Amino acid sequence: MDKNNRWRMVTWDLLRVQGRWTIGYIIAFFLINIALHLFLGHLVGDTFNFLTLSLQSARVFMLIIGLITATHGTKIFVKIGVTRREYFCGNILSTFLLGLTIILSAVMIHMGLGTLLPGYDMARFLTMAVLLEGLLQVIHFYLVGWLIAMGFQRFSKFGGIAVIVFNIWFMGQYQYFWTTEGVLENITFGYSFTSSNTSITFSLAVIFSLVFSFIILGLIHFISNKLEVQP
Amino acid sequence: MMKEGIETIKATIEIKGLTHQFDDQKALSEMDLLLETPKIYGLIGRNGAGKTTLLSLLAGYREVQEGEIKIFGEAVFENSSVTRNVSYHGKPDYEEEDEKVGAYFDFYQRYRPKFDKAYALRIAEVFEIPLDKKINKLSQGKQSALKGILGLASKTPVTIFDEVYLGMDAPSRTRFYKEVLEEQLKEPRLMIISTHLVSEMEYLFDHVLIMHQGKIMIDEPADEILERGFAVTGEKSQVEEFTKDLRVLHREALGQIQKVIIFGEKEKLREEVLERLNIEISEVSLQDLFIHLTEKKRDVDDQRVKGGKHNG
Repeated sequence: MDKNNRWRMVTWDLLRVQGRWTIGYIIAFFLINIALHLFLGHLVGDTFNFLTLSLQSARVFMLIIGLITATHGTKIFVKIGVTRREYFCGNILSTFLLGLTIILSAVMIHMGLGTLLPGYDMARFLTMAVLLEGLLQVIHFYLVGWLIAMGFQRFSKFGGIAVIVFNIWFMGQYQYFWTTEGVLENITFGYSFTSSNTSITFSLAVIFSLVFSFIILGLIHFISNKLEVQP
Repeated sequence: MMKEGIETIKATIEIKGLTHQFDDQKALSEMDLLLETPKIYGLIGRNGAGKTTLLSLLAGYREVQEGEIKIFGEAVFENSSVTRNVSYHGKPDYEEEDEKVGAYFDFYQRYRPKFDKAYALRIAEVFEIPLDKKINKLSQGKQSALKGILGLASKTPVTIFDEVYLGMDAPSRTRFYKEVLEEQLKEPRLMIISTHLVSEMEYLFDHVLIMHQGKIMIDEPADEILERGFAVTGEKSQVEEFTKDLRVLHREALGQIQKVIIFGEKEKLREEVLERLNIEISEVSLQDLFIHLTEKKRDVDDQRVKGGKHNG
């Protein structure tokens, strides 16, 4: 790898670490669901399937690793001579690739279960719309974790809490484009894979999701581009 | 304290009017400084003198608030071509680092263009650091040694050690100092070593910077600063007569015998006076000079009062 493309090296190094966590998460989530299925048969029927369940939990997973990575990552990379800008660019690419890895892994397991489990409805949720929304959502949740961590590092405790409050409000706005339910309900439980809000088309929801993610990215850049690193 | 006449082109690090503040506390105050390659600079100062703030600004950990820092003629903060060539090694901070030592060398090598992995492996063996052990499982001393190894093996043109040796035991510190000197001979660069262990490390320094209250108080070659300091010992009245026009850093008395530390005016020593008075002139260590130069003025005055009362 060209040593001048340091942001791509950052991407690779972040993916190396996060990839290990992701493999662990996917294996654990798969085993839990298989165990539950053996006792409850919950993967067969109209309510649950592996793809939708894994995409829901992947949001929480991405939020957490976004938090962890940003909490330690900036410090680690700045200390080996990487600029904040290079880290920012490298982390964006790794987030996208990580999101893609999770979606593709979930699809592969979903398809595998469709072949192995009698009565498993593989086709119903396996659409481009579901996958695109899943990808946008996991990326967005990672960015939210990243922003919260930056808020705490830049503005200390109270500033960090203010950033969390902002994020809760902002995620409520974000989720509006994917559901028709009340905001708090959406944050806690709601997750639809295609927009059922008749006033908002799917493509509009995708566009607004992208805009929201770019706003979060802009805030992260604004907060982190002059972040002080403790020696 | 900008030195007039110095060719700035030789200066690897150029600092002008650097001021830095934390809330209402000034950490650095209008500092001017030129540092040149290849030299080992000893940065000495009391706690809170502003050493770490200065060094973290040099490493690009913080943005300059006021004034400027240029390394190789360029600003440091967020400048990749500079930051990749400047490395800072402070106290161990590896609580979260669960990478194994050997793998960490590979990671480090990707970002430090001149990192010498073979050398790092060799001195890791000398310091008995197991390559297959997770870094956060190493003892404090081994983590300190690892910091030192990374600094030496990074071969960055500007290498900063900020009390990196603190957790090391005496044999490890001695070995580390030896490696510093050998590396400087093999591949000369600009090293800045911040320390409290002045007496142990003073032989390493080509140049000494003494910081006090956010300013550079002394910026001189190590041999010159040592030549400027001396101690005068003798009978109290004779010592007082001899030192009445000199800059006294410190006085201490035992009965009628007084010892005074003088700084900066050795040229005023006159043979005939020395012969007439029964006093003894001796060398002063860098540590003593540092202690007394940075002593609060009130403390020095107290010493004078105590000395006077004691002998009066």
